Amino acid sequence: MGIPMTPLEWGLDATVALLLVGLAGRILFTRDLFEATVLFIAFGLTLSLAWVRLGAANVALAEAALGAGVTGALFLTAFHRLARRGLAHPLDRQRYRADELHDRSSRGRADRGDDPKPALLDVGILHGPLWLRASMALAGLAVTGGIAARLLTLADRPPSLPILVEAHLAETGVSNPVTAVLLNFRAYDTLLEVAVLVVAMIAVGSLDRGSRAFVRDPEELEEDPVLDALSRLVVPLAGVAAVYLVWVGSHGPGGAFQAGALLAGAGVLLVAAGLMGPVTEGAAPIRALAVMGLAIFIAVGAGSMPWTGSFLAYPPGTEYGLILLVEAVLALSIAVVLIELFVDVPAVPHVDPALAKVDPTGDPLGRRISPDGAVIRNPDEER
Amino acid sequence: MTPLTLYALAGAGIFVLGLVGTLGRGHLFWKVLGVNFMGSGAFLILMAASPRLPGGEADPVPQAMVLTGIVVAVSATALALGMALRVAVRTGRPYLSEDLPTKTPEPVEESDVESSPDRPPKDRAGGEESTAH
Amino acid sequence: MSGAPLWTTVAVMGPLVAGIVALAGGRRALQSGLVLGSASSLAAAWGLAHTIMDEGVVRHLLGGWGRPLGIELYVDGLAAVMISVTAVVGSVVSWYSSAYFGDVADLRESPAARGARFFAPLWLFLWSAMNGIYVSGDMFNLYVMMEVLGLSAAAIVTLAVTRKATLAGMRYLFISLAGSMLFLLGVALLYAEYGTLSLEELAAMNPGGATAGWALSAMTVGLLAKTALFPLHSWLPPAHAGAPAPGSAILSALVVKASFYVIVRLWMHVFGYGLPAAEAEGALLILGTLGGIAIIWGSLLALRQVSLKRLIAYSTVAQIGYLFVMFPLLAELAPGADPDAWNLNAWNGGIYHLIAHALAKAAMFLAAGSMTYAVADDAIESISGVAHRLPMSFLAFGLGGLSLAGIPPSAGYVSKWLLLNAALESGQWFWAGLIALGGLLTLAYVLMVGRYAVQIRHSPEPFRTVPRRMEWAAITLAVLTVALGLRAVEPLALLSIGGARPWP
Repeated sequence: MGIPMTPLEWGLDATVALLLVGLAGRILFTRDLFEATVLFIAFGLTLSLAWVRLGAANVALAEAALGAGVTGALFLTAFHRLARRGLAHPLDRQRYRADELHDRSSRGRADRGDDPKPALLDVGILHGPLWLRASMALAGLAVTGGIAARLLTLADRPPSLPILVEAHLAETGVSNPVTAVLLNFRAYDTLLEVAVLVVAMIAVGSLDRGSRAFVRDPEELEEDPVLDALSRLVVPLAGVAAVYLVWVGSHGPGGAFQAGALLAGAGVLLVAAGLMGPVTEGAAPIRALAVMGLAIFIAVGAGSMPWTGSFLAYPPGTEYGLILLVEAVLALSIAVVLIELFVDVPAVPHVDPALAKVDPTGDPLGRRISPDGAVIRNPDEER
Repeated sequence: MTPLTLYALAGAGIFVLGLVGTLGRGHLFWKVLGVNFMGSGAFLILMAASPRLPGGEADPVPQAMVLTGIVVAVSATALALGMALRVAVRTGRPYLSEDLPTKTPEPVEESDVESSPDRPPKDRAGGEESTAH
Repeated sequence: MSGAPLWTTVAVMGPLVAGIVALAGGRRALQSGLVLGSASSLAAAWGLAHTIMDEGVVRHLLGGWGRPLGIELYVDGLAAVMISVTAVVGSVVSWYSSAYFGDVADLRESPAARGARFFAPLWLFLWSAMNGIYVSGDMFNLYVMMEVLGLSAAAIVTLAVTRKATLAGMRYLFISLAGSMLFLLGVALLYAEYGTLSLEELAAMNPGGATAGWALSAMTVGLLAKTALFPLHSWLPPAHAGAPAPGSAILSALVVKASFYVIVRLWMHVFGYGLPAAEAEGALLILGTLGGIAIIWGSLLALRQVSLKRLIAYSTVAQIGYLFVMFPLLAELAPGADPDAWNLNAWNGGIYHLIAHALAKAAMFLAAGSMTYAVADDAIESISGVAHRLPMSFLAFGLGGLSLAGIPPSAGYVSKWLLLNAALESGQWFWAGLIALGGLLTLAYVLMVGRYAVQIRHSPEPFRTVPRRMEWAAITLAVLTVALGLRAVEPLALLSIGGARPWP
């Protein structure tokens, strides 16, 4: 963003900023989950517009693809799962007032060893009595005001880090400063960020049996001709664009994450439209592909240690090649992990009230023992 | 006030809104949304309040951090939504309390039902068994 | 390649690679992952301890860049102590877990198999994140590490199938995420004000003033929620009690210490000089007071529990209080002491308490895990008579509990003695009384469990045979607790490297 601003630009920025706050407020306070989900995607797109206005095209790409795209798809899928069981509606404020719930929970506290439950927190203070909501609003305003006051009076320090980045850019092997930071100066963070993705994948995979394969119902498929047509159109384009993004990332906006997100978006569309088959649970090649990026990143970082003496330092002359290699593998792995995250969203099976009431046993893993000391596996886990 | 400050202030507002949503809404999906907003707010502050280069270009370091943050947020959202659905499976409600009434409240308004695919489960009863495995 | 780059890399990347290995999922893969993770962590702990004994504080400039452009890893005595404790406790818990989860191949579809398949990779990633936090010298890197830690820790809780554990894991995840976001807000404010992410660079700028105060407050609140200091503790008992036994041990003994460690780094080292003295002392006093309330409140609630694992979890709430009682004592100096350093007894006592609690609490949770494994019930009543069937587990539980109560000879005794000394030498009788009272309450709930376990009201039936390895693991940690009570010189010498003073 240049220094001299026209009133028009100023107005645009003010509108975008206000729209962001307004959307966030509407999403958080609406009682319609579908509206919230759709507006959340709109929020992500508006935010990527803000990134463009802030001069961060790299971030804008990632926000659109990941923040709006993949996260939005995750929310929509999860919403569908929930809505089909009629669980998407928040508790009605009039009928289940927080104080009433509090009474219920104190009566139901007979089971052993339970501490008093913060029932109001569970139901949500925003569904509570007026005085609580008002004080929460006041506290929120006070904190916002405090942070805002700090932001308005920041020390006017000359930039130091970006100058250093510029000064050392030539030694990094790439000319896009953001890629230089991501894959050279602060490559360690990027490596761990990939680890976060893998952890999330393991964790989501550990949640449920039975629902690993996400196959859409045929009836739902018919309802979405738009999705179908869209995916046929978008997916091939996304593949080409991803290759381009990895390559361009070294000197312009782009890189592994945007490319991976784009590929993942394409994959998610394929799955959502029912055009891609279910990813079978525990398929070894897929898991290998998902962790390959992390593994190769570590291997590159550690492999050059005998020459450079520190982790993640590329030997001089090899920077460009190694960064491109890491980026290409990362893009692929990120795409696979993101698709896995999406595919692994657990289905909400028919909620059996009897099952919902029973805690299997005192054993956290649900193992029972018979009188002769043998282990009985718990058959009714998440039918 | 420059537009930069404007975005930073919006970031502060969004962060606090997210915090209020996370603490104040009981429905788990809104809590997940709230955490996402806290992240977006912090990212906006990170980008908009960081010192600019003399030419006015954005500092690449916060850009890289926000990129990292977005990826982390997606991972966390995926896990949180997965867990929320699991809570819904095991307690019959996407709430954190075990003691909420298990009865499904009636849909609030007619218009709500039409504007969203959140229809009562009865017309989908046939599909239930297929997802149960 | 000198020691520091090698061993810091091994500390963080070793468990990470092991986690990738374990992800292959087979029985052999899981076991080799756990072995690799334990071996690399122990090697790194040994290597780092020796390196800093020889060279003093060491740094590893990742990518060869150095601060502020790149990320620096920073290892002083505190970091080395944390990594060592994590390595020892973590290795023993890994050993225990390989027996606890049973045979993977046999139980392909059961929840127990799910636990077996996913515990090892999640735990190894968690391990890597903890080591990463201890060596990190960079604020944003800390944030990323905390996210790895938060996601894997919450997932470990939900490996348990019970409804309570599912809810507890969900709540834990939200606390963890919201805490990280508050930390990130602090990072954003500090970067806007100071233009750096390096902790040492920031410390050199003497961060003070309103923006630094707001940033530090946001970060501290987020970290306190993760550490479960009263009144932000209510998520902890269900999560730690609900998780599978090895998970409980890890979460209670190690994971809460990671966020506590970041609080110590921020308050003691980074912001040590910068904050205005009066405000800083007020804040330290608030932290100490909350810690004091936590000791009393947690212990009283522990006494009221009827479930064994919940009792131990409430004991964690109380023991976390002791960690924070260290803060007000740090600022009070004995007459004639170096005015630029923190009170050494308080510092040693606080960190030694961390070590003692890690060992003792892991021993107690592992022993409790064996007992509940045997009777498949978690109620204190139902372990009646277990002491006769599982004497080793009972001994491990008892030794751990007595250490927490401060009975000599034990690590807990050393730490409480040091903290008491710190309180008395600066004439703070109130804290001394509190520390003593907390010890008595701890003794009360430990003896309460002991009474049930020893008496034979009815023989525990049905009774599942407990694998030998589980009993040995718990007793190993209990013996270490006693050993560290007899020999505190070496750990304290290691801790002293880098000094108990704010960074310049």
